[in-house]
Amino acid sequence: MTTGSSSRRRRPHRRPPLLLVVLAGLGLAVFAIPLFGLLVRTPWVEVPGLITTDVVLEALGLSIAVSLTASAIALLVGLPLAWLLARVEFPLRWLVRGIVTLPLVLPPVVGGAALLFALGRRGVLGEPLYEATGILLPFSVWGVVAATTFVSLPFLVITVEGALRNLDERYELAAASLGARRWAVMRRVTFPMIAPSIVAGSVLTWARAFGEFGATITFAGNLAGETQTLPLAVFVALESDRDAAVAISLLMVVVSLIVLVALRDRWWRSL
Amino acid sequence: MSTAGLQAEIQVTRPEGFELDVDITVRPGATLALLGPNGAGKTSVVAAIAGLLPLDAGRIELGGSVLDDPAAGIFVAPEDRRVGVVFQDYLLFPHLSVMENVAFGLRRWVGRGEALMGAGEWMERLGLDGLADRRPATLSGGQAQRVALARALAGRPDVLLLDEPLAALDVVERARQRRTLAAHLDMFSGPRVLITHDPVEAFLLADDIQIIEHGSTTQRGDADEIRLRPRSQYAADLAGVNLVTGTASGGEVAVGSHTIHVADHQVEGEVLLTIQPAAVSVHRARPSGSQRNSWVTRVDRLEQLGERARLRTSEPLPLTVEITRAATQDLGIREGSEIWVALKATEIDVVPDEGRAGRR
Repeated sequence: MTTGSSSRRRRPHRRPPLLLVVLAGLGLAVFAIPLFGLLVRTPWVEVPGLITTDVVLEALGLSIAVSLTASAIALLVGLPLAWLLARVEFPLRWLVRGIVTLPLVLPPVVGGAALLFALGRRGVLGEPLYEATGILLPFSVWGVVAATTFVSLPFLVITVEGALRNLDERYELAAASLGARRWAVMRRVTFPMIAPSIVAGSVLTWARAFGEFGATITFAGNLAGETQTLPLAVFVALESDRDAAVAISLLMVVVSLIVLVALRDRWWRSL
Repeated sequence: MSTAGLQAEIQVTRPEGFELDVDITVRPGATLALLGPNGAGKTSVVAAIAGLLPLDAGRIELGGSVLDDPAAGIFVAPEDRRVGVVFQDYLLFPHLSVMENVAFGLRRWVGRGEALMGAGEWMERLGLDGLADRRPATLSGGQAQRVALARALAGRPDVLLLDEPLAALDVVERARQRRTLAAHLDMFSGPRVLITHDPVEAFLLADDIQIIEHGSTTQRGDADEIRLRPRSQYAADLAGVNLVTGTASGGEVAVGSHTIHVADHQVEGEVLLTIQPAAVSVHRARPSGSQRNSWVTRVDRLEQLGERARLRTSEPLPLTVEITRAATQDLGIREGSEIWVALKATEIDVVPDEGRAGRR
């Protein structure tokens, strides 16, 4: 009863410190100014025409397909990886943690180059793969997926690993004491309890994949209709047709913003 | 030895060097309270029985089958033990409804539908009807405690372990739940182990009490034995009695530089004296009469407890003394007052202090 009445009491109104507001405003400007530049430069009337050309629609389709595929792969291999990193002590775990987060700080171009050395036609793994199956990753749509997965996977792994480490393991022990076997514990307790982080990690992964540029262009090239994703289309358009570049950029901003805003309030209170 | 109950010899060394060495025996239908201060190792006992903490040495036997015996290479996984646990902060699964929580342990025996039906029965028995669809976060402490109990019992365990089941509740709620918990425990016919640091809980809910300090048992007995003859300072503090260690010789016990006369002239060596707070009388001047134990001291602290007053005396022998409130007024006693205390030799309980003697 007492807590009910006190929570309803209004908190004394206090103005936030001015210095804080000014600095926070500068922080916001970092994001807002480029966006503003884009909006000012947008040829609004022509936008519908500019973003419905075959090149743009193909690039949009490829970007959506590739980013969703990368997210799916991230879930498939990233969840187990996060679980191992969080729950199993193994030798050199510190090193594995570092390697997993490396793509976050590595220039994507370097990542793409590394992929080329590993999976290119003469790469360490690429050559035997090509000779055995005839599959060539570079400059193919699967190359785009590989490059995109490389840069985006860490977002899922670190988000989920953090959630697993914060999860009170005693819930899993409680489940075991109630007769649940390992898989049942994971299915009925562990994963449902960290579901918000899994969703958040997937969305971050998707967003990073959707915007991926450097590794893709290095490893998969820039073939319109084949490996050209939206960011690459922007890059090409900047050289030839500024208005198209602005329009495609706007398209990316809108798509990304819709997804992020829609999910942020529901799932991201922890982020 | 009966095979239906719980017998456990628990020896565990934790990584930080803490050593736990506790033996417990509980017969079906009986409640054993493990009473001890925080950090005494009580929760580790629960964890060992539940299989969440493997033994280093010893043996756990429940209902005639061995659950853990490192020497014989036996270890039954937690999910294969029939152990019901009410965890310290309940650990109700936050993403499941109350009913799904209660049904959780039933799923090992039956399908989902039947599990939910079984859960419904338990919820009714524990007065939880109407809460089926609620999330644990919306429950009161007392409700959460009963859901945790229902969840543990619904899995048809062979032993029920309750780790501080009432510690998370506020004072009023705790008193209320203590009474209902006593009734609920009777629904379970197997052995029960109650972990607590609250002596009242132990005295009210348990048939036997085992006091655990620093990872080992310091005393085992029923409530009266613990209260009247505590064997450690901790137990004495719980019971509110004075516990004094000294060296006995011919009816005289040396406590520091002070000598206390006791009725038992046979006991020799290290002894524990138990002095009930109400057995000490208080006077303004040297008491006449035949009491051989009397000395002058000062009142360090004075607490009023309704019609009674509890005072703490200072040197030469600090004691907790209980007298009526009227007496404090008649004698004009307040903190700092100089008083005489007296104590009949026959009121002092003397037992050999085996623990201390054994450590010598």
